[in-house]
Amino acid sequence: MTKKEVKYLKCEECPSRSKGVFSSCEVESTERLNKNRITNIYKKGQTLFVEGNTTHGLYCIMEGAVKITRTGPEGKEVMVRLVSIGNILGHRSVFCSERYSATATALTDTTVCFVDKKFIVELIKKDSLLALNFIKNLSEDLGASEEKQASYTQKNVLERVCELLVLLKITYGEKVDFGWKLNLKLTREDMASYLGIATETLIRSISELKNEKIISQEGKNIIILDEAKMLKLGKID
Amino acid sequence: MKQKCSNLGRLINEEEVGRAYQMGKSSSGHLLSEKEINFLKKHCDQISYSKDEVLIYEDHVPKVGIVLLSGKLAQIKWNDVKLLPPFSSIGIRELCNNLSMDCSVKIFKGADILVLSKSKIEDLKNDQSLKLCFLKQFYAKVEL
Repeated sequence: MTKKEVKYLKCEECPSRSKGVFSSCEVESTERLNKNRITNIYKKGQTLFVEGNTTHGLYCIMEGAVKITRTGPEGKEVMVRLVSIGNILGHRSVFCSERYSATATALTDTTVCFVDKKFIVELIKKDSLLALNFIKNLSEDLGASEEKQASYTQKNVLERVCELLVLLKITYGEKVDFGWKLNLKLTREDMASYLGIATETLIRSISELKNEKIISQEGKNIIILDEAKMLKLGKID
Repeated sequence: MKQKCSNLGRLINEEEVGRAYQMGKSSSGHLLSEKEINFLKKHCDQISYSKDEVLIYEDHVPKVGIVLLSGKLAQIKWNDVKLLPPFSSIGIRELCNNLSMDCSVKIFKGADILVLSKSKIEDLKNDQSLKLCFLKQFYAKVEL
């Protein structure tokens, strides 16, 4: 049933190393990580873990993008977070010894490293720099969550759509001649559920932005034509 | 690839899995003895699954080794579905040697498994208090 031995990139050679929690690990910790982690490529649509199931460890994104979704009481799936390169996921369930509170699904072909729960807890106990990085990461997550919550109550739909597009531009934007091309094809349903609005409302907002010549579309990709105007419209500092 | 993915989705249908089970398709996992299961129960986490999940995708290195205690665990390759009998182990050798699987493994709601992580296996190997001859037999069985 076995195929072939898989060769990994070393942590030191990882393209997302500078962005991740493992960036300032001690040398010994990095060596241990190299020996203990598992790296796999998840194809678009494959799930990393499922809401309600038991956690085995944490995941670090080397390349690609993952969406985190929760299922509501009526079975409706809501996207709560986007995870991009260098980010970790599953860590909250690891540290709280809880079951996964959400489902993680690859949005594109995504390279993901996995380290088991026992290993990561032992590593953090020994490496204070790594522990600090985890605290920083959790604090940033909390900050982003508070900001999102504030945005829900203080901003209108159009402002929130602008905010999401700017967020996507920061992570997935590619500079093109006439603006920024967003290299992540999120469905309108995913975008709407992330913003907590109806898909029809999102489509109307996107049309409005197109009419104002702030964005355009190339196939399924959105292109931000006028970033300054978008920042102003979205009341983004 | 499209066909493989659609096959995984198709398996959500529990009736179909039930039929495969009745057909008595054999598995290619390693069957462990009761003594080995009791030993692992003392040292490993026992987990119940509340939702169906693909634990290992084809071409992936397993994240953890799995020993099925009860419930349904299926090996899937193209249209071939094999249900593993209780006390089967799967993925332990691949996990320890960074080998990819040539089939997917899906667990179904209600299944109970024992989980062997890479660091747990290392711990067991290094624990001098454990009976070496027993461990050797166990590792030989799971081809470690």
